[in-house]
Amino acid sequence: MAAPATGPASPRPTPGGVLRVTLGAEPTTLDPHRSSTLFDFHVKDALFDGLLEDDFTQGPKGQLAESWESPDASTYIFRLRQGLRFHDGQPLTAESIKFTVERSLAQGTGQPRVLVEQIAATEVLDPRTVRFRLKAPNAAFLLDAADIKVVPPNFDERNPVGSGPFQFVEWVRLRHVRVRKFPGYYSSGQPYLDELVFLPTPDENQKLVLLESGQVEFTDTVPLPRVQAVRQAGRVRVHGIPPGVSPSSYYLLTRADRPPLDNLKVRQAISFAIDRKALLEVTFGEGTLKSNAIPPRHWAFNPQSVSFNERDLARARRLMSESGVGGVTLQLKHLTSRAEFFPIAQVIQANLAEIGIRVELLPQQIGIWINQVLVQRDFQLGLTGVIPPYDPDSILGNLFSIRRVNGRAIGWRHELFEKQLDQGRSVVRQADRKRVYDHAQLIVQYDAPGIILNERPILYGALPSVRGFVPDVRQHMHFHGVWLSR
Amino acid sequence: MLRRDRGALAGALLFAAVVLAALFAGALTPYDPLAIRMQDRLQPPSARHLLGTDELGRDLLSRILHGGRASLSVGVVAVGIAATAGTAMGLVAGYYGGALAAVIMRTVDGLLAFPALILAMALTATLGPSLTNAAVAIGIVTIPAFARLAQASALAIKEREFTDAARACGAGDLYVLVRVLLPNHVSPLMVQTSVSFANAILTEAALSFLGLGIQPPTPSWGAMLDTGRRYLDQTAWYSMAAGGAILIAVLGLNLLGDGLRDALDPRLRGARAARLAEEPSG
Amino acid sequence: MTAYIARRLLHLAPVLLIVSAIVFFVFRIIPGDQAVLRLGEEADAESVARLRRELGLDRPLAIQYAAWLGAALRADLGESHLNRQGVFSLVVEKFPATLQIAVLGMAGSLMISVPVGILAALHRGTWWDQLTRAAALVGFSVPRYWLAVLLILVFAVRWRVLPPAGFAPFGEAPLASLRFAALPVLVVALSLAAVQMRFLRASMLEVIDQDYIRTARAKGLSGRVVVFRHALKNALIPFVTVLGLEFGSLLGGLVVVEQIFNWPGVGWLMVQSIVHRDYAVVQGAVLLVATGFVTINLLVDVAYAALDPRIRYS
Repeated sequence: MAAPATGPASPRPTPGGVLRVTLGAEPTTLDPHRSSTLFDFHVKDALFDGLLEDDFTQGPKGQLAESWESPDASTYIFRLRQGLRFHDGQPLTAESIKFTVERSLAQGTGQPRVLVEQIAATEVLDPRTVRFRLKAPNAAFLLDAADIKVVPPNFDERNPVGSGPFQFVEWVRLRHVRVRKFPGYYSSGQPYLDELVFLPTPDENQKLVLLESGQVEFTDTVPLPRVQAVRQAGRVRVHGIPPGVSPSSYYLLTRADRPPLDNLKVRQAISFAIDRKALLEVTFGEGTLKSNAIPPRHWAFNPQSVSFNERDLARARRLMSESGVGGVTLQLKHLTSRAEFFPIAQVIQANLAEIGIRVELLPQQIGIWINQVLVQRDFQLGLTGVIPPYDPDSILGNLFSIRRVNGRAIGWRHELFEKQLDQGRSVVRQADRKRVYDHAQLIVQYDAPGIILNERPILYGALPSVRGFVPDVRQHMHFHGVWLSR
Repeated sequence: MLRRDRGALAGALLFAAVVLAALFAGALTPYDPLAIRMQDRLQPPSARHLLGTDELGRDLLSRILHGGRASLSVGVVAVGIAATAGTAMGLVAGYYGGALAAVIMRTVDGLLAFPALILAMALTATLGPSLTNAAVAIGIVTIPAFARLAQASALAIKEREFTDAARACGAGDLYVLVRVLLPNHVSPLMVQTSVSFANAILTEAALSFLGLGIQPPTPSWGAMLDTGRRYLDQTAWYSMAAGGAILIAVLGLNLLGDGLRDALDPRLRGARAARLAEEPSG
Repeated sequence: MTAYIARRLLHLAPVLLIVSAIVFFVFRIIPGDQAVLRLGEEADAESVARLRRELGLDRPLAIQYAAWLGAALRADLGESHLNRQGVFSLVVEKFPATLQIAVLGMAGSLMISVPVGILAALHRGTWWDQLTRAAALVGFSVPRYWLAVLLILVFAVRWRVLPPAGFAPFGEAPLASLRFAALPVLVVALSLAAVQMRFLRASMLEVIDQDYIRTARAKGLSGRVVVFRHALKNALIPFVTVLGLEFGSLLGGLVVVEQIFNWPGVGWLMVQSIVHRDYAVVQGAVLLVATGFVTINLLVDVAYAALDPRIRYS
């Protein structure tokens, strides 16, 4: 599905050159074990490798690991490639993996920490072999292993050393992050580029201008109002993921453990009141209409779990009056990192006005939003974009489970749902897992602790000279295979 | 003289038109400025939507007219705060002199040391962005203009015979301040009010443009100008119309101010330096 | 003269003190306890108290202010939490970019306003004068941000001859830098020129109406000599002070322009810092801008006094 950007007869990559890439916002941290934004990941993916590659749509692929096996759903053994090194020259061994797990546990926050909390023991079998024993069975652990980014024991956030295709040069706040080719990268010949420069560019039109005038070669998104025109003009290429595939969503978090949003009927009313068709227009038809976190073309998608796709204002009003909650004002904190968050928030505001809920909008820069909504839980409604790992355990767990980051912020406690998640992890056959997740999807749809508002489209802009870019369903940008044609 | 009056008249008419349009916004356009109609979005001007529509399909003309309400109310509140506080401070300082005047006028100098927009930004950033806070912030930064003017008036008037006459008749300080100094200060006060009103509108639009002023869904000229920038190659009308509305209101007030200045106080004619100290912050 | 300067300098100290107090207290309005804001509302009372002690928030406000002011006098305005860089050096670093737009914009405005203003004064009452006055009034009323959007629409979106935004440091890539600066400079030049034209015309007229010019004319000196030898020279003195005031107010006036053109100057830094809630930077930048503004105004006053012998220093 994620077709390579190069044509069918791709010529041999030519090495060299600098690729300048826009970023939607200033990174918040380059420590791979600290909870972070998509924009941090764009930089981190260049600096750090995990045991496996991120994109699982075509099954797991090795990154640092050359092979792996799982005798049962609680035990995973990885064999590392030979001669791996960190950017500073020190060898990367099984001990490094063990250290990484311990560090994430001790100093990690958010998702990176949650990933390693399930590990009971990390055992070094020999310098190239490491075995994880999990506290509980997890059939989706391989995907989690991909997200554990490996760092050396003397890791320092100010000069982040990893083993990824590029090594850190400098980070000048509000201007750029520069990284350069790591000559010792395991994949021979890669990366092709000499240097990558990330330029935080919050204004989306500005990104396109920079691209069209050749001041950058690659943009991390394309302004939605312009996608159609840009495609037609053909001066720059639009790369992306076809709709219905990626677990990317616009996501409205509700503070479900406090009045008035602890009231199930209020949450349901909100979800019924929101006009997802109008929201699809806000994104100029890019993306997919959906109210389920599992993408419609995913193997685990439950076609019955779509009850909120159609707006039902009458039902929303009825639910509101049944809820006994009236004349309420809710504050909606929304991100500013993408331009469409503003009109989406305004549509929600107008939609909810029709069921008697006054909404105050509070735009927040991403670092502040994360701190206030996810960390401090100081919010009522929070609008963001989410893009969890591809496994249904991650999609449903990351968004709704009280044990994960978004779910903790929401504060929705549902024992049956949590049990379903555990069960989904312990069974291995896909058909068995699907049955479990079908049920879990229905629970989430009914309870509406967090509200899914369509698929957030994944689009990139690139000059025609940029070759070898492969979009990833999780919107991670990988540049090790990218090269510039002259 | 006649020509100058024509300018003032044109300014007054222009501004009156803006005020009336804002007051009767609801009657002038058939559209709800908040009604979202996605299927109609980003349309160019047409018979149905005289100025076209915005990114959510809302009628731009009605948003501009309703936006006028927000802008004008910020202007009224801000200038109200500044004229009341500033004039009181200035008259008191001018009348009493001494240490009290020194304290008041040094504070005014301190406020004057900030470029208006910078201080207003700092205030709204700390108070939180909203229509009320924007009005308060702009009011505070506008105080010095009124205070200095009132102090100058008070200094000049208190030396005149009729002030002495009033005091000789046993008038108290309050009487002199309110009944003698204030009425004689009306002309410069009127001129300053129109000029400050124009600046308040400009500053408010700048704050809203930066996201620190009026918040959605309330339509605001500054915010519309900013949002419209994203759609310049789809419908340039969006930004242009919002900016045009600001221009008309400000131009009207400036014409009015110029005319009043010339008509009411010939001595002020040509003296522009005072205006420059509070150059528009946009 | 020296006494006058000394007096003005003496006057500066209390004003700057008040400025610093305003800046300090404005940033104390921020709703919520700083310690709670940092730790989150679920933090326990003990850690909140500990952080309050560390931040010095438990001390009386006046002492906090004195400590802050003392540090500020040593050019220590705190640290940006975003950059982990000193606020002072951060603002100083952004200053050249602001200066570039201000200086070029000022130069551009003079190229427009001086000839136009003089011609208008010389041909008082003609259609040219009327047109100039109308243009100046409109120019004076046009919001800079609207002018900016209009110019972007014409030059960048329609004609595609200039970049709508962007930045290159002048020291590293002068040509690219000038290209990026073109539109913001044009915005500043046009809006300043309007004010300057009005002023220059008015002060020229004032001088022309004065007796010595009439005398000079009566003596049979040609119009041009009168204009350039006498009238212009005398009209320029107040004009120069206006330029000084304009330059000072540009420090604030460039905020929106820098924002629109994504030009990383001091104003841009302030907006970014507000967005990122980096209040130490906003506070420091506001203090520095106000100090600069006051200093420039002082220099303007002194220059005016030095230039114009008619001023009495009472």
